[in-house]
Amino acid sequence: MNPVESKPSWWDRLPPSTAALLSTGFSLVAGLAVAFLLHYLLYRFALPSKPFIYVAF
Amino acid sequence: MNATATQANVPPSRRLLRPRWFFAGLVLGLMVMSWLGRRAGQSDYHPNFTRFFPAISPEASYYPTVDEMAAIVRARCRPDQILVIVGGNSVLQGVWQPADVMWTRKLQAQLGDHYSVINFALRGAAPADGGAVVAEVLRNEFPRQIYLANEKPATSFNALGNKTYRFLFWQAYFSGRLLDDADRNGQVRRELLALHGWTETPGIVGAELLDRGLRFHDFWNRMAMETLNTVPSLYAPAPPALFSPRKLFTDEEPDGTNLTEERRYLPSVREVEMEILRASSGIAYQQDADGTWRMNAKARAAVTRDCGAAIPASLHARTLMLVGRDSTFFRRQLKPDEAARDEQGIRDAVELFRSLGYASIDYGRDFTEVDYSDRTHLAPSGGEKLADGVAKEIQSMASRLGYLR
Repeated sequence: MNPVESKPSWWDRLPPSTAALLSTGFSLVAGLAVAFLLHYLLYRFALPSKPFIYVAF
Repeated sequence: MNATATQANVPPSRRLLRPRWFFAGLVLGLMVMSWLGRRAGQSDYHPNFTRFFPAISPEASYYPTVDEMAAIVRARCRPDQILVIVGGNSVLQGVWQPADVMWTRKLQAQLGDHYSVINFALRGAAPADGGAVVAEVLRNEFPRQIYLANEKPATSFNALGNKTYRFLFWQAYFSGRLLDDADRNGQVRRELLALHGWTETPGIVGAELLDRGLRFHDFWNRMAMETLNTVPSLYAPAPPALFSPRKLFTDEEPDGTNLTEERRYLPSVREVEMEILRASSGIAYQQDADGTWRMNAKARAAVTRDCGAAIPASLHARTLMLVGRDSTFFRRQLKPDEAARDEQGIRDAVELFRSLGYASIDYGRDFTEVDYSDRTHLAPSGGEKLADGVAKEIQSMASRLGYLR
């Protein structure tokens, strides 16, 4: 028997209501963070990939 | 026991990621970012705006938005003033003219407090680019407005403008802020159907519709300007300068007044410059038996059709088209018949614009070699002469358009 597997983690030791609250909060924050990142990536991908070089003529 | 069964056995209270709450956060986050982007575009964040100089232009991967430009106008033009938006290319932007002596400053001084002059000219831009889009978007908010741009003789321009600056047109077009113009709608349809590559048209339309909803350009432009820039450019290619807000860059246009002749008219490109000058009217003109120069019918028809449809007809009367001469340094090297052709091209361009309902004047007839800093760009002294002529025409237009009542 592997003693590491059998030992409950800190997450398993949390009361169910606390774990539920934490996972809800984590999920919400993760969603917000992904929204922020997605917003930025949309901006970057929408910029032209080739820079404009001005040449007077 | 497989992994799926293991997951299924985990009670909901023990799952770290809850999909419903994750997607709620995602949607909420996008809504908040959209709101912040909308807010970012509603107020001016260019307190010391002079013009879109290179470090805050597409040359430095900075793409101003229509709302950003409209906010610049709102912060500067009072309702009792006549709005004068300067579009066009580097000549009207004032290349070789430092910000404190650039020609639009002189134009503002000449016109006085009844007018508000804003320089939205962009390097390499066509008359329907940038400033034209913003002026049209603001047509109801600032009904007393004059838009001015420049173009060479016998040269067409269309509604979609230069590809580099087309992002502004697409923004305004897909957000429904431009006039419903059948000619222009036809050009848009043809352009979108003719684009190469199956991703290009969906890319343009999709990006504009997404931006319309999420306002990422407005939000991140403001972030780049005020707080943290994240887009590398020639002016700030790597950290730490890369992360400097763009507001720290200043308009450092050099002064073309005291250049030597060698610097002003580089010997290495003089031949090429002469070829460009000759070609500006040479490609569209032919000489009659009596020696007079005439634009060939095909070129005239194309220029008339394109320039007429580039800007909605109802806006022609408030649009001033400037037709400029190149430096006398080069013009005096033309043979007599080439010089006659060049002058004929300028006269024809002005008449053609007027026949289409635009206001139009030419400039450069009385300019000297030192009024230019290269073949086509004006030194501050040339800018002052340009401002003199343009101010008179703008006052005349304002009177004709009933803006002075």
